[in-house]
Amino acid sequence: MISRIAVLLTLILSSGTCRFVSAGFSDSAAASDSKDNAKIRVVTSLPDLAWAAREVGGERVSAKSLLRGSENPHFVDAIPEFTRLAAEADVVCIAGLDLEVGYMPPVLARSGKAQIQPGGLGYCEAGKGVTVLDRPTGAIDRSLGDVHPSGNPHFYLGPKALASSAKEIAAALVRVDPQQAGEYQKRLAAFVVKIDALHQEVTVMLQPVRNAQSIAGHPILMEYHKEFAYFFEEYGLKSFGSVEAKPGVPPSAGRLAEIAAAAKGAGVRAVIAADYSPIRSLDRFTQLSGIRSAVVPTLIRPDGKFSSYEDVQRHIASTLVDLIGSQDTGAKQQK
Amino acid sequence: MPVGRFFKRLVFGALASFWAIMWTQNLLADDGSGLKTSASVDIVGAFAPTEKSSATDRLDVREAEIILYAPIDNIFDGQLSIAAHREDGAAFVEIHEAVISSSRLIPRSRFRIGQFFLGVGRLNRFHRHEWPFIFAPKVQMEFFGAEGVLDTGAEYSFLAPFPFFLEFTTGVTNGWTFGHSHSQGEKPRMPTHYGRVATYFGLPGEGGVQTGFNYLGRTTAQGDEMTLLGIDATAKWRNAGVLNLLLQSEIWHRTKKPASGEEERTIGAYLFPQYALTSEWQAGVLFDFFTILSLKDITGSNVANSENRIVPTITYRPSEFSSLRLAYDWSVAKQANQQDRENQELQMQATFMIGAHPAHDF
Repeated sequence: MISRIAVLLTLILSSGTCRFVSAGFSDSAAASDSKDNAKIRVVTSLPDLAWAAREVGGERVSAKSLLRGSENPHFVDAIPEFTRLAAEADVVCIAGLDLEVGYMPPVLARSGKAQIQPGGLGYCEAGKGVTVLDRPTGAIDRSLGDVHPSGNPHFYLGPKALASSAKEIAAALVRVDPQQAGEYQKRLAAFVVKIDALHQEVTVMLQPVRNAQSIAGHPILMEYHKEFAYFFEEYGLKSFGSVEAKPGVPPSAGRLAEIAAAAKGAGVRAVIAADYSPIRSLDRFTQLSGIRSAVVPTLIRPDGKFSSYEDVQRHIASTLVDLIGSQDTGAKQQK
Repeated sequence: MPVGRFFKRLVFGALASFWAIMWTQNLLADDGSGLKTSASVDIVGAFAPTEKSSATDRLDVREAEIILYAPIDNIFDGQLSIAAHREDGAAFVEIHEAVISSSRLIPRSRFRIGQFFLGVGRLNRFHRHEWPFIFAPKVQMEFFGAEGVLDTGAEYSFLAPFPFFLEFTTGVTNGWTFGHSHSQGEKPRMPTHYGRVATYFGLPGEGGVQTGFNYLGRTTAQGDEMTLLGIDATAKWRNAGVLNLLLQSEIWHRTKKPASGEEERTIGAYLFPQYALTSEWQAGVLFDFFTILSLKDITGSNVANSENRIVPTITYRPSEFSSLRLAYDWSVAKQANQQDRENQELQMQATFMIGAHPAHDF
């Protein structure tokens, strides 16, 4: 028995030692950690929620997102590193509306931290603060595809919806740090003002698209997947629908032919998609319909080109303006 | 059929029917308890493509399982799974998991008490219908049984407060039996006890690998000692939601010291690389190796021996709820001074899950 325990201890110690060495557990890292330890540590599923948490929490909060922004947020693995980060957190905030149902439950359970479990003081579902779009009515089942029973979870693309969801983040911060409640509420109000300013700016940017839509008298845009619903809603744009027949199910050749013909017939002029969407399907759609498509980031990329929420919003808007505007220019030149 | 076995089947059959009814009723009623239910079915078949085949030439429901899980209260969670599977032509209904667990009671810790699949290795921690291939590698089959080791006991996991993922798991279970069994077994001199240390590394290209170091021991009522040491590794590269590349491997060494007689040492390993052809189609190959290190002839000299399998596998997986799988299993058993024994099988599998779907670990 003693030899068996010795074997196990050797494995444990060797594993731990190797990882300490590889992690470069330096003094500076430890110092940085201790500095962060004084703050309320927020871990979010999406980078956009981490940004909102920093805006609401200010200097009192350090916020980190589990996703890097380039992933398809519907299909993510319960990476062990997520569990470690969750175990360190005072607040865990997810979008909710079933977006993270495939990976967050085991991440939270394995963290062994009571506070961040559903119902705990530090658990927050930002989607609860949002007026949800596309909530299915009637009977739903999986033959309809990857339907979110609670409604469309991509509210983070609508700035006002994101600001609204930040109320849930603020509430979680107040629960774990009630002494600073006033400060969090003040910063939340400032965040709403900041988002309003961004909304006004992007609304102006999108005026040419709304004009084109108004002249056409029907929707001129469509999506690959219904993740731009909040963006379109907040900026007065209408969607003809999605290229996917069923959410989360890649369109078949038949579906592409059918929807391409329908979109062309209805005067749709542009398709927009998240940059993790299948490019081949989009290209085929364009080939069949002659309707241009573009892919855009839908989440902040903290380490990339679109490192701020404003960048993402402006980029989506300018992409739509380019898609519609270039066709208008082409049409004028032809005339 | 012995009366005891008949009675056991009757009781389990009644239980299964009861839960099936409860399950249906739960679908119709949202009582606020958070109870979630799911049913999974695993259908497999093996067919003989040549005369050199021991395939059964039949398709069977290998397993049908009903899982119920929910928070019990503000501290504990509960899970019950009841599985029916075919064995030697008869259907058996048995409890797979009946567990009370919590991750809210002790900081950085979770534990479970009850009956469960032991938290060691890779395959043993997952239900068979969730494996990326159809049949267990030889080492799994020999050391843990076709579906893995489940037993009743307690397991505790601790997440170390380090700047990287390091999780310790240890458990003790009755150990009256080991592997798949329908008997009560005998009280062991040393119950089944095990430990796993798991860590995780990020890899270039949006990938990551989880590695586990495993130990398991048990001494039977007769004094036969068994020690298992193993390493498991699972690497995934996922891009734009698609699991582009999966590499899964385990290597296990077993020492069996009988109360009297020669010590037996065996080692086995498998490697399964799988590549996504599209978001729905995956192609993989299972490389499987097994050998008895301590095999000796009558003169006491070591006898070279090995069993090797190569199983190209293609999977159609339109969603996480269903899969169709086709594989060609080629295996050869070699032993010095004996003729090689070759076997070929065409294998197929269909799995599906209806109802709620518990999220998976990495």
